[in-house]
Amino acid sequence: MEAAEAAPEATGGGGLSTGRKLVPWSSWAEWRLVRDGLFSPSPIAALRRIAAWRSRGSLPVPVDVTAAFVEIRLRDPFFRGVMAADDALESEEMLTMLYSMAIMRLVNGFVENPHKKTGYSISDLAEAVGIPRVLVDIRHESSHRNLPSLRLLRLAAIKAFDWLKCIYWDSQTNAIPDLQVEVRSKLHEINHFLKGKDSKKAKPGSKRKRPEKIISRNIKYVRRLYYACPSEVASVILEFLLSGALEPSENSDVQQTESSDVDQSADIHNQISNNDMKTIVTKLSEKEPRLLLGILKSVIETIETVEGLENKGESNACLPAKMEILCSHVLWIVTKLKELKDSGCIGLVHEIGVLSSDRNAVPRFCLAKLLRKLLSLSIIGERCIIDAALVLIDMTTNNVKKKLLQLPMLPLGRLSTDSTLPESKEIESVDKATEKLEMFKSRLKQKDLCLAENGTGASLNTIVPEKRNSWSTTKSWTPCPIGMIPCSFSSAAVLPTLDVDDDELNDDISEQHENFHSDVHTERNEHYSHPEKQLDVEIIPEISRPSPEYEISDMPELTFPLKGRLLVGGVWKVVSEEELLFIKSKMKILL
Amino acid sequence: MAGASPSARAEVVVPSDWAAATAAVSSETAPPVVIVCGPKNAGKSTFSRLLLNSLLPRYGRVGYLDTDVGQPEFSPPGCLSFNFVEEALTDLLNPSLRQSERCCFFGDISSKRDPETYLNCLFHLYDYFVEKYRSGASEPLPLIVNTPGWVKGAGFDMLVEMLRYICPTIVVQIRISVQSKNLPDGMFWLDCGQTGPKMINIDAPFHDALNRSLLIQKDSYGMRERRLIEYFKQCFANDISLATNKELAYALTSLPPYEVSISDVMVIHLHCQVPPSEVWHSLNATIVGLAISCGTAEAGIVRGVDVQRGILYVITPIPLEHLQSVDLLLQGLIEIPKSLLQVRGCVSPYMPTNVLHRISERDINT
Repeated sequence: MEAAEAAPEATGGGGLSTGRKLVPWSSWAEWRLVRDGLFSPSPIAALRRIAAWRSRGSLPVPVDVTAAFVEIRLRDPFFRGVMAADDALESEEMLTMLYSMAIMRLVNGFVENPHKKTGYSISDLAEAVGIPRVLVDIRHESSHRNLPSLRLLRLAAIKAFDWLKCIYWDSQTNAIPDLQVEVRSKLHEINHFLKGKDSKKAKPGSKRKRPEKIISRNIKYVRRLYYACPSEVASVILEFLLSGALEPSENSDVQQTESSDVDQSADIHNQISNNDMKTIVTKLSEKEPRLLLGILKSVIETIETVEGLENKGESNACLPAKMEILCSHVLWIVTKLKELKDSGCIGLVHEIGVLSSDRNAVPRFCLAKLLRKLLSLSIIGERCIIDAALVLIDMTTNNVKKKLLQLPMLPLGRLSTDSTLPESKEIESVDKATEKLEMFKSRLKQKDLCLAENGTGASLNTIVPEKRNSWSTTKSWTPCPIGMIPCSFSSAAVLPTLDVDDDELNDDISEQHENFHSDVHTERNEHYSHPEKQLDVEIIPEISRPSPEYEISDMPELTFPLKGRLLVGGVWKVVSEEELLFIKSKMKILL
Repeated sequence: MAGASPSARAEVVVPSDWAAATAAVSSETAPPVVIVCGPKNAGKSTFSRLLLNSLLPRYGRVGYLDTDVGQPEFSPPGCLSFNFVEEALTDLLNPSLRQSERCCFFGDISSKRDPETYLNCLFHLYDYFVEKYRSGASEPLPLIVNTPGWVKGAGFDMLVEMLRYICPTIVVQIRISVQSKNLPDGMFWLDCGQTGPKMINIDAPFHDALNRSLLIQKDSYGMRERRLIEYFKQCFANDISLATNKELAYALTSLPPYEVSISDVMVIHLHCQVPPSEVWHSLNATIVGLAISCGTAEAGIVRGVDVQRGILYVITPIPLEHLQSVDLLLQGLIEIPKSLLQVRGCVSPYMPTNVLHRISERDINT
């Protein structure tokens, strides 16, 4: 409580200064990886990353010089150990020069600017900054007199290295804000005051500020944190949503209210009940609708992770329950999204003018991408996911909605959980595949129409493009910071993984963003620019020619009305198992 | 750029020796090749603009070889360019952006990092000009060459090489009152005994009370940043309000970028060695030159990289049809303007807070 109070917005609370600096790293996680690499026995990967940083400019002097010392050490047999001592990579003279130069650059890098400005002597300034005296002497010796001895230089290099670690690497480490702790404490505080409304009467005058003010201040703060690190904040919120749901809500409620009055700081790891959390998220998303997209992305990614665990056969009693909760959150978030959309707080990509210079314009998201993602989840059978998809479909134009609602498959999915027969599973998956295909196609048709109207889309009637243009304008772009890209389904801004795929040395550095996509994406690569065409060309002709319209024929209600049938070109056709398998294999590529 | 001009333009007073110099150049019998040189901030660019305007009435079109990569006249920073100009410049005090006929992306704001490449770019552009506009049957085109203000040390050597290669018909040297900062008098680039071109010496136009030429200190960092901002403003139609940098920055985040497959372009690092595994770490959210293998270049921002899908997202004012032949991304050291990276709610990840930047005394004591 005190800590939160002592961090008012004016001074940029919690050490989050408002001053921003251009740096060559894209996140503090990347910076930490390089730091750990440099101070580890195998610094090669870190040195490579610093080479990339150097090419971007704006590399801080301490990073530059530390890298220099590490690189020289790699060449010095003295530091490489007995084994390597035989092969003299560098002569002693060469090493002497390397060390001297690095030390010279260290001293100059720290005191040159103040030296020019103030006119104080280098040694005075160095003393003020705390540079070890021996480094200043070596700088003087090697620039004006004889080169110092290699023995002295090695000692000095160790000193310099330690000094850099202390003055830069450790200090910076301490200065990085712990986002998770901050978000947690803010959420708790919001929760505390939201619930405190009733209990306030009990002890009047104990609060100096009105709770509403404190709440809105904290909401603003969380929003700022979200701008800084969207995925981290979203995952913390999701964590709360999950932990709140797994506990019996009443219990944690009681626990929460009791503890919060006693000691605010202790309950940072306590749960906030699910309902309270939903209220908080609602309040947050009213201020920042994009947060909702961020959380949705987190939820869907978690679902996919859990799916992955289940597929690996890791049986865990918690998994089904967790999955159920996750799915219910998807539904809840999508419902919220619709509410926000209806109230005009968030828009769809194609509805509002593509470009706006107005910073206060409503954020947008791409409905089609999100819908496609939901339908491609293998747990599409889950009731909540279907409902969520339906809510999304509800947001589309009436035309599409009507068509999709006519599809009798959606309720069928619910049967899937009970059925164990391989054959019925097969059919079910084909049904789902068909449904997805149909939905996808109608979306594409619609999108294509839009594009054709705008005159920007290439004609999709041409089956094979005569000349492939390598450059094109991105379709359905959602605003996101420079250096980030919109998430492929939630439209939230994500920091892309920048590691080159086939480089194994880099695996340790690669961050966990979206790596579960990689196998799908590589398959899609060459067809990326024309996924629509691929759909028309490759899949459909295998079965039959599609008719231009995609109308759904009326079907009598049977027990298994769709067994062995596939909706092709608006007609339910009987298809063989091979054909089904073929379609199924292709579906992976499409979705 | 446009902001300062209306009031400033009224104050343009052409000194008498400048007027005499432009008159002398434009009354040459043959279309001249003029090199304008002198120390930095002496007024080379301003004089070149004036000269351009005075040559236009007689020739109708003038070539302009822009060799100052720090503050180019028509292209974004880091470029050398050949320009074909047909209409007079309205703003004599400020540079204006225009589409170059041929442009080389050198990728740094000074030639010092790679003098050889710099001179090769320059020679390439000059050869292009000679071949297209001086060797045909039609009347040769006059040429103005604006040079960088780096006239000492290696900069002087480069200027000498440039003068020897181009063999101008007229050299205009602008001199300032601090003699030690000026170029040597006379035809300093020739061995003694050789006959050289016509030399015109003029004074820098700004004088103090004692009638000494003054150097005007320019905020070159700010000028470059404003120039890049102007350049990327061209991505948008005029009807979008972009009065402030913040509005431009926001518009850039929401502008659907161009996309290109990673396999369709080659990345070249002009001034640094970058391991192949780190190439996207190096390129994301930086300014690059967009070049055709053997030809002209423009600038763009790599605004995002999707390595899994193999797509680069690029922002540039170049129209799509001109982009199709672009197959090279050249990364230099042109820093992206910070104001383009920080928009409320859309701050680039490369602009964090809590950065320990300089170690100051205060940090030591605590």
